[in-house]
Amino acid sequence: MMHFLLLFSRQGKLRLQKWFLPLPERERKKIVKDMTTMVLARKPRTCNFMHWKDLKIVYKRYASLYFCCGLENQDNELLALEILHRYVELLDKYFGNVCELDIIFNFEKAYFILDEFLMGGEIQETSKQSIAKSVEASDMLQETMEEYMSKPAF
Amino acid sequence: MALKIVKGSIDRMFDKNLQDLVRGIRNHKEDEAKYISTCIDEIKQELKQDNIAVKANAVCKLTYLQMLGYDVSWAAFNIVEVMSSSKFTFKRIGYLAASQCFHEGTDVIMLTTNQIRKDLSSPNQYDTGVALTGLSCFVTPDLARDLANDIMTLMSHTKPYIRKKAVLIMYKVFLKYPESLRPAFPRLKEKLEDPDPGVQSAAVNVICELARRNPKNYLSLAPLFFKLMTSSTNNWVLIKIIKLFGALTPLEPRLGKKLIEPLTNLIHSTSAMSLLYECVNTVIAVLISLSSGMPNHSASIQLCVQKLRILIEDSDQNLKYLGLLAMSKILKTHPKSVQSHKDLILQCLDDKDESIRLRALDLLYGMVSKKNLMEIVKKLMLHVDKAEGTTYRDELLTKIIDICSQSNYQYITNFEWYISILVELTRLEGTRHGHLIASQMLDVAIRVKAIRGFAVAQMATLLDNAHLLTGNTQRNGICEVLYAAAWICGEFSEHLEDPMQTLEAMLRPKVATLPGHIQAVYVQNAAKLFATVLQKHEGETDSQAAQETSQLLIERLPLFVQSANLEVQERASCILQLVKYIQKLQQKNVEVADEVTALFAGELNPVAPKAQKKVPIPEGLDLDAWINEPPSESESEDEKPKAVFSKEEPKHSRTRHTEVDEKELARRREVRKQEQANNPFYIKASPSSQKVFDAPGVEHIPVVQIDLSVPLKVPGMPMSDQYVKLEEERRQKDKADKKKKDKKKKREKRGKGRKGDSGPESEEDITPAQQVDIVTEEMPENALPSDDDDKDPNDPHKALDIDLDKPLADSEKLPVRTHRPEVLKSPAEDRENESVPQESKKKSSKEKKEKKKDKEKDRKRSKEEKKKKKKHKEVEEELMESQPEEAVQSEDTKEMAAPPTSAEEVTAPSSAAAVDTSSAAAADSEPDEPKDTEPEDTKSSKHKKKKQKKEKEEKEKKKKKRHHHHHHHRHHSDGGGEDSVQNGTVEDEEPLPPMSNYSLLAENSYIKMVYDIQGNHQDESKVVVSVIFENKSDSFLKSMEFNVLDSLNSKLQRPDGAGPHDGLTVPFQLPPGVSNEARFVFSVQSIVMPQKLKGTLTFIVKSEESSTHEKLDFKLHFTCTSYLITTPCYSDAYAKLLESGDLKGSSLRLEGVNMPFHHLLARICFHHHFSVVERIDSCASMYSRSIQGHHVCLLVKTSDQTVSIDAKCDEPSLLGNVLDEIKQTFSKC
Repeated sequence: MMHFLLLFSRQGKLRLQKWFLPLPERERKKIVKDMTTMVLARKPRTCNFMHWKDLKIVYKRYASLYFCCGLENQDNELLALEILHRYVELLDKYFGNVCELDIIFNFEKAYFILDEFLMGGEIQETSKQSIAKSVEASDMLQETMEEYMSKPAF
Repeated sequence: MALKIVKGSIDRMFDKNLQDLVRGIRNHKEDEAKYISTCIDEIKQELKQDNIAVKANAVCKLTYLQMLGYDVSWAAFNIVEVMSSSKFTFKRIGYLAASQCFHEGTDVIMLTTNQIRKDLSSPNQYDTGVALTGLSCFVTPDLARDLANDIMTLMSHTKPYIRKKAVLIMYKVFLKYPESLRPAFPRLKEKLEDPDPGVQSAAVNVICELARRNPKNYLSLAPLFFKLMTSSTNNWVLIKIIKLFGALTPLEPRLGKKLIEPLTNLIHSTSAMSLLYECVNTVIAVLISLSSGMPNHSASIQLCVQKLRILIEDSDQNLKYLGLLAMSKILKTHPKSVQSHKDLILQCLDDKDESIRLRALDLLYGMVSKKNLMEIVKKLMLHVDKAEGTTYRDELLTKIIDICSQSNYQYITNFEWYISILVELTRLEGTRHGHLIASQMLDVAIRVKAIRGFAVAQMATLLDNAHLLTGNTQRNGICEVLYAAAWICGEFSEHLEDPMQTLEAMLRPKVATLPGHIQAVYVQNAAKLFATVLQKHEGETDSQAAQETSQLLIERLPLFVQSANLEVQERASCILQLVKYIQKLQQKNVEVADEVTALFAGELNPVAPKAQKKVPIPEGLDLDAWINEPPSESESEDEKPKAVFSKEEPKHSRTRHTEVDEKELARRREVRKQEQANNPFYIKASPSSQKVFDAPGVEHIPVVQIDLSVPLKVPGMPMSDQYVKLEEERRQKDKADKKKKDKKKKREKRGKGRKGDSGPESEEDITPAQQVDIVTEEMPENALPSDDDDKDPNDPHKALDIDLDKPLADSEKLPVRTHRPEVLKSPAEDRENESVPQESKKKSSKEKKEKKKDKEKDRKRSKEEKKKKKKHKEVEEELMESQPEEAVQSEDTKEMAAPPTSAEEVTAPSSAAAVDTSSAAAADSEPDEPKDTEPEDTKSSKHKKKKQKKEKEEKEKKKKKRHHHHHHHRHHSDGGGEDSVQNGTVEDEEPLPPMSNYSLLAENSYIKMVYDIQGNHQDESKVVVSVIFENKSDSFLKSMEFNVLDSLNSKLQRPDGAGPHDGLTVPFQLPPGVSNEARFVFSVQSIVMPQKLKGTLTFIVKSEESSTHEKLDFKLHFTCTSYLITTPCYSDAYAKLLESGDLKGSSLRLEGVNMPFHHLLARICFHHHFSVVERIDSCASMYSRSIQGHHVCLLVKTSDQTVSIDAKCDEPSLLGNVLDEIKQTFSKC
């Protein structure tokens, strides 16, 4: 089971965090700090796996963003890389050639996509099409904030 | 009021939205904190407004700020407010914020229970989905307890989208509320065969996680998983299943044997690295579980090792890393297979990637032998010198020590070499592991008596050059070594060449800069050295030397007396006075040496780390009992100060205890000696410990010479290398000698004694350079052998160690929810819910069902059916084109119903995933693979069966077939909720025709209604009527109202405040051609008779020009069957029930039934909610239970188209009605 998924920039700025376990705030911050320092210290062309406490850390850099997740000891690292990659594909498909700014400005969308893909640290849906569909359908239901804001209040 | 609204909307125009906030933060890089604090003030203002849109916007911004690390816990209540909004727009934001910000300590979570329950039963699947997703992040034990039943119900939801989410979240619920596991498990198990691959994979995920923690409870699922493994082509699912088997095999080796073949096939065939890796891992687990006495699996091991070698040689660092990781697992049980790849692993030590070097180091640990230890450590020492980062160097250091010290220094043949290595390691700058080196030095010096002379000499050198270690204050870590050096020199000072010089070194003023605990050891051991010096010079006529020593101590010790460290101060002043006194005696020429030495007499033995824990509690001793009467409350304050000294007390009692048992002690010592004599690893000490280099059978040992020349002089030069060379020479010489002299006998003895089963070489040939005398660590007598202290009592998974095979007891029911499905909404709320998208799925699946039925009558082949289905699909697609909104849902169905290959193509990771790295592409499966491999799998498993039992073979084949069909048809029975074929007994035969419990309620030219009635496990007076409304017209149907004329016995549940004749608003509208389902709750009092209720549906038909009001009357038929609930029953419980005699019997005969027996059973199961208890040939016992707890038992027999049913029930009229209904079912077909 995946324990957490973090996205952060090369400067160590957190762009997205998803916790599949209810951890207290303080512990979360510590993990984020440890992960950013550890992952950013890695040299290029080293392997994407690390050990941290009793977790396996799998990370991968896509353009200016690092995707990093913490797995339990018996989980499959390659599968985790696959999951990260799939998530990037999903973002790419949704935003169309996704970049860091897309995720910064539409961070809630990034979460919604993730929520359709993973749940409770497990893969929920493996089909890209189904995920895209359910995200789209939910979006259809949700008028954009802007639209709503421009309407009168009653 | 109006003014307020206008004001609100004007305000809102100036509000920042999320984008503005993000932009603002980016524009205020210098004073970000200040900017954000003004933003937070604004947000607080926004939250105070009544407008929910403004609040949602504020909460959205807070979620962003929370990610940046700002505390937003103060807004928890506002988040709940936004969650509770009826608009999906805001609900979605609210749940997102909650999932990010809430944790177990958030107290407002308590307030969310009802809201979440409402959302879970919302008719809009996305409301439910968003609630489930959020809940998965912040579920607490309370929420889990309160909502377990609701979520369990959702596991059988009609929409796979909800089902898969519900299944996944169940795992979280189990963790928080373990009592839910047993009641929910049967349904979870059912989901393993769900027609939707997403749901199936979710169920596999959950059960895999559960089983990994408590494998023994899931062994009974192994056959099912085996079936899934051989039939599934979805790599994501396969990986999970294979992982699950990895957890199960250690408990059931037979399973392992069965697995080897399919797994090795997969290893050969798959191109997905992640799958290959998982297979290799599981094969390793299997082999470990079989490891003893299964030589014929060496081929599998070879295969694994070969594949891993390929991984390690790969240029992809990830594969290299994983290869090494997996290799280390094989190493534990099959060291020989790994050792042959030593070259490759040593090569990895040079890799530029630190993680890979670390993994290679792990492997080295298991690969050393007596023969290669020195060589490997030499290589590691080179790496120590080269290493740039301190972390990696420290890791190397600990690994060197680990490798050398493993299993009681088993592989060390020359301890001088080892001491030199340790001394060399002290030269590492800035290491954190000074303490580790020190403890090794102490351990070796104490436990290897023969080495003490050498060790003392080395330590003396270290002490002499202490300034090299302590010169830099940054390097404090390493000065721990001096602690060991001082202690060794003091304790074994009789081996010192020049104790005077060492003493002088230990009393240098520089010592005062060392940490206190080290100084204390210095002072104490200076006294020991002093005693040795005195002893040495005793008897000499000239007492000059002894007196000089006293003088030296008297001059130097005052420095330590002034130490700020109490320990140092105390020891120094004590010893100073002692020396002063001795000096006086010396001046009187009194012989004092013996008395001074007596101060430090006696030997210390090493004590095992766990020794203290293992002291058994003597009989009759109750550690919890009060020794004196407990002090009264009022006195407690006076008592407190005394407690400080009470620590002393146990000490006294201890000493007393030992004194008493002096005799006993002697006896124990005797026993211990006996034990040691019998211990093969304990080699008795040579009579004199001075015989350091007295290796048997070796006369001329070069080591003697170096002992004097090399180590003492040049402390800064590595000398361990020289040992490596010398050791080579020595071994060769040994061999030569061995040939010459016939001392085989003696050596054989030793060989037996020290032989370990690890090394690949014939280790007996290598004799240790020193007679090694490893003193075993002491343990208290009668120590308990068990080592149960490794388990973590806080592991949350412990609570899930529950036997799942026991039948459910009444007390285990999940807590009953207070409200039933939220169809019962107040009309006001419904109005807000306009324009909820409808789904055509319901309708399509229903239509298919009916088509199926027709076909079944015609007895057509399943292939033809498929074709037709496709055609039907096309029609549907056309339909969809006109309504883009529905595309989402129907597309889903299409995927499921399409022929297997295309469905799998969609769900299996597509090859498009391969973008840049090979590993990323790893899990991809080739699209054309599934069809080809499937028959092969069948064959292979058939093959296996042949070996075991021939009869089973055919059955298995059929099973496969059935499963295949099942896959396509299964979802048609979806709407029924309860599945008919859950009983294993039915599964071995021909495919079942699709069935549906939905029957027509009413129909006119606009709308068609079909319905099904289900009992509820938890509530004995309620049933749920699910009605599917289908719009048959070209117009829009809206404002549907469902009303029923209540009878005394059965009543429609209406929301609070509604009158007894008010209708219920159906919570959706129907665009043309669309169908959707609504659920209504009825309360019933007596269930023994069937009932009919009259009702009316009113609705507005809205076409482009006009809208008309229409109505449709219907009759709801509550059959007695609908009060029955499928309840599993075990044959012993069933037998008891029949024996009890409380049941009254009745019987039924059906003539001319020409369907297979299992079809018959399946029909009874499906349509009448029974479950098969036991089946023997053409006779089966069945069971069901009413919502009010009546037991209904059937005995069904068949012969020549005649079916006889003997039935028993504690309520005869209920039974009579049920039998009538069964009769009706069969008269229809």
